[in-house]
Amino acid sequence: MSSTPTVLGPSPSGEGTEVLAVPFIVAGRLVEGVDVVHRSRDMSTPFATPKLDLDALTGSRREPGPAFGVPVSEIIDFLVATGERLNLETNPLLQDALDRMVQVHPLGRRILTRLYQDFGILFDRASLEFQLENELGGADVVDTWKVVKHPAPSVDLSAEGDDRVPSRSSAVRAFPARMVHVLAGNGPGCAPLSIVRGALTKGVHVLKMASNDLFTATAVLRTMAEIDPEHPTLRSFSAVYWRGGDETIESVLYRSQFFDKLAAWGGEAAMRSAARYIAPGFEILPFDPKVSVSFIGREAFASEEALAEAAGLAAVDATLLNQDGCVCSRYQFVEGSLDDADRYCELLAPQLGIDRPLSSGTHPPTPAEIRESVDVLRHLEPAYRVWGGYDGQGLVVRSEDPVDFHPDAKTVNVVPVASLADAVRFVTTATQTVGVYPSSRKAALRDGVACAGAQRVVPLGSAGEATFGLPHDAMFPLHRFVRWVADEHLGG
Amino acid sequence: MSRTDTAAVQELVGLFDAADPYAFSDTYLDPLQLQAIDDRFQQRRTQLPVLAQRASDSGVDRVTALQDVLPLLFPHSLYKSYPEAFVTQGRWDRMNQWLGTLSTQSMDGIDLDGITDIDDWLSRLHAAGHLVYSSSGTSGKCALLPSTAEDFDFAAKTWREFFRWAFGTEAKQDLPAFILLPSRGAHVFVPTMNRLGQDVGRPGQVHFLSDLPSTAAEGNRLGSLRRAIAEGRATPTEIAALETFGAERQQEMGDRLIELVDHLVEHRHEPIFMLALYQQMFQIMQELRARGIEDAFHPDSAILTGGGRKADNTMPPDYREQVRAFLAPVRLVELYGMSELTAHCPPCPQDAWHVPPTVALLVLDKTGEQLLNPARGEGGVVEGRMAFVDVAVEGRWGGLITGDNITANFSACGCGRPGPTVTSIVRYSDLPEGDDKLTCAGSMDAYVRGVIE
Repeated sequence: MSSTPTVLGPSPSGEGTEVLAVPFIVAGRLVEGVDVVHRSRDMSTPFATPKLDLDALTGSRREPGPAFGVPVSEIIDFLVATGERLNLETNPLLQDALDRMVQVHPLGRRILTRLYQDFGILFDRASLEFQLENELGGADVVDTWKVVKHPAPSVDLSAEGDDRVPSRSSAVRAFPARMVHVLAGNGPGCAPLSIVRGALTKGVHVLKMASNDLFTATAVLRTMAEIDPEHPTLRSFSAVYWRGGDETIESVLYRSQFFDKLAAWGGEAAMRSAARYIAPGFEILPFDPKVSVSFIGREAFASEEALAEAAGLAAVDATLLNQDGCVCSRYQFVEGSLDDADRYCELLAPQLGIDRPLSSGTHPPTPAEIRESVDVLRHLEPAYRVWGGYDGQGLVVRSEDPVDFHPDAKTVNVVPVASLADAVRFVTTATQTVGVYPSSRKAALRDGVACAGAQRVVPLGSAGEATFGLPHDAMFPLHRFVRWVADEHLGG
Repeated sequence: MSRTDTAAVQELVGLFDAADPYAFSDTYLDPLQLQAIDDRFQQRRTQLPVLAQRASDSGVDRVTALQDVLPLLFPHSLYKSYPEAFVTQGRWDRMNQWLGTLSTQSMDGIDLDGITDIDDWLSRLHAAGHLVYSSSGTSGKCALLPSTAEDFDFAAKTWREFFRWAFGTEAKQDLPAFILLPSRGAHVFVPTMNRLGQDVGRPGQVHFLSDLPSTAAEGNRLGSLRRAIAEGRATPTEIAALETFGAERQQEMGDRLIELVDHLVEHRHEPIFMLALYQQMFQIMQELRARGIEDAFHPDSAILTGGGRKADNTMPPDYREQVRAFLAPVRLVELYGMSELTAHCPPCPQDAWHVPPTVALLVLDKTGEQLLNPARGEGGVVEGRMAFVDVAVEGRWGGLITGDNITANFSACGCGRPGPTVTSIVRYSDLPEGDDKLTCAGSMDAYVRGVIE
């Protein structure tokens, strides 16, 4: 296998750019080909894929999926073995994927490398077991028909006379489902995470890759193939690409006869497009596009050190993946006066320009829409104050109310509030993570922000931490990855 | 106030006194426009802090080539960059501060006491000689364009030119006139259309679409509601009210069109002047057909139209062709322009829109960073984002980047006039744009369904 991108010659534009080859995995088998040329969204890189064979992506419902009957302990062993091989230093498949990723992904090699180094953690045995335990109540309900005894009588309305049936036993199984996953590409972890969850629940999965991550899913699956090319878990997965929203594909595939569920990761257009196909028997699992915020308590103003600490932690949360993620803090509510907020901004702004493991100190440049708004706001002191420029080192806008534009590309909007309780009114159904400083204030705020729509409360600076097995986007994903089926009245 | 033209600007503005203002050669216009752009830049940079900032950020001190003006062009969205909170919280002092960054006139001495809403604020500005008018955008937030009385005088002159373009004669206040826009209100076309009605129409026979004012508050209503929904403040009743409001407005306009059709039919035996959008003409056509009338327009009538290029899903795809076929042989002149321009582009028989001498046309790449205009005198056809410097405008800086994707021909036109001409127009927002770059990062807009798509 080549470790450099396949060169097909000049791109269709004739500019002499190389065309990247993007292989597919179909039911666990590598499919190579350069039949269809596309162009990536972010970097406008031309790339070529094999022709998509839709029949190969859909199995018959009369046949169980390859892993339906495999004990979850065997699957965990296989995942752990995969995780051990997902070592960037020794795995040429990952190295090759990373080389290609750099050509379609705006995060750049340094940050992508850091993310690629972390895949192994997703395959940690204790983490896998915790997910099964905490999300499904244990592995037995995935492996077997788990017997549950009804503590109370059932009701049988069709019975003549007495409709109360004495308590009996039934069996419940977390039955494997057939799913399409429209993956996000802003962080490459989305693909291995979906593979882990899909494997633990044993279903049949089609991963539709994003044009800003065309390589991670296939690299992980190909690593599995090196361990056991016939493993039923591997044979349960396909990873392919079509242009999101392509009706000639989506209208054909998105049917309950082929799939039970569509896991849709972000992207408003993708979400709206997917929603058109939702019908009885075909449901959507929304990993919603989200906005995150920070709550900075008055304790930050107790000392210069505390203020510097809060600004540093808030900068970490704001700059994750260069602020291209649902967990990234965009609006920060500061408990204090206008002057307090300005002192905080003064310290926050330079913190956005620091190279961090998951962010670049000098990238990306501020997009035109934000520049245009901020150009005017600069002239509206004292109602607005602006720190920083448009060069990618970060921009802070302080205002009395949240700004009209969407803070992005390392832009933070700081709003002073009389109390953190008062900031709860800015939490909406679009809010995912609320980072709180100091952490001791979380407990008093969590009911309020959850009520308004937030999904996650964390200590400031921890927005980027992920603990699998906890709720994600206000659901237990494994719970939604299966079909809950009952066999009622055992022995009756 | 009076015009603040420099010699070069004065010469260009004066071309609208010529027999054909659109016939001047580019070898004559190009150096004159460049001089006028620099003159205007030197004037405006002392008046507009936003322009001064751009000049210092980009290090542009003089405009000696068209290229130099690129970093100085304002995005069209700048005129609606006021924070919505200023309006909802009635902070008119801050709205003045905002306007002061974009207007050539001083904001001193404006009475801000007891202002109730944005239209009230606009009236106070008008009373103080600041002719700020709104232009309804598609985003639910009005653009506010600072202008002066001189801007509307000049605009009136250009519209008399478009009349000549359509009829081949001078406007003589002798035609029944149908202007399918509101006669009152905050919209930037209101003063211009009133002047046009006076210049063209027979007294007592000038019919507007409506004499109810079109308000800026109405234009902002969608935007404020969207915000209220996003923040979870809007009640179901308020959302329902807005949904019915749109339908009622449409119904009212439909009813008014039917009244206008009555007047049209009265005048079917004499030439008339009409200004209408294609969609409105389609509705008029349907109403006339329902009445069994196929020849409602005297063949010497002329109609000015423009805008509304976006396909409306309530119309058949060929509605424009249907309208043209129905109206033939009435002359239909479709202008290309926008509220931010003081003079628009009329079409010649070759279906090319001619750029006014007071406007320097710039074709940029999609991002607005590269100038694609061919070198002077070389001619050629380029496609890209339309930008311009309107040197005639007095109330604001005339440099603007638009949201339109155009094809422009810098060679001489087949009609005998020199270029440049615009030969096709699409809005960037109407171009198909997939979203395949998936990210879990969202914005609040995704959580507001149906208010503005």
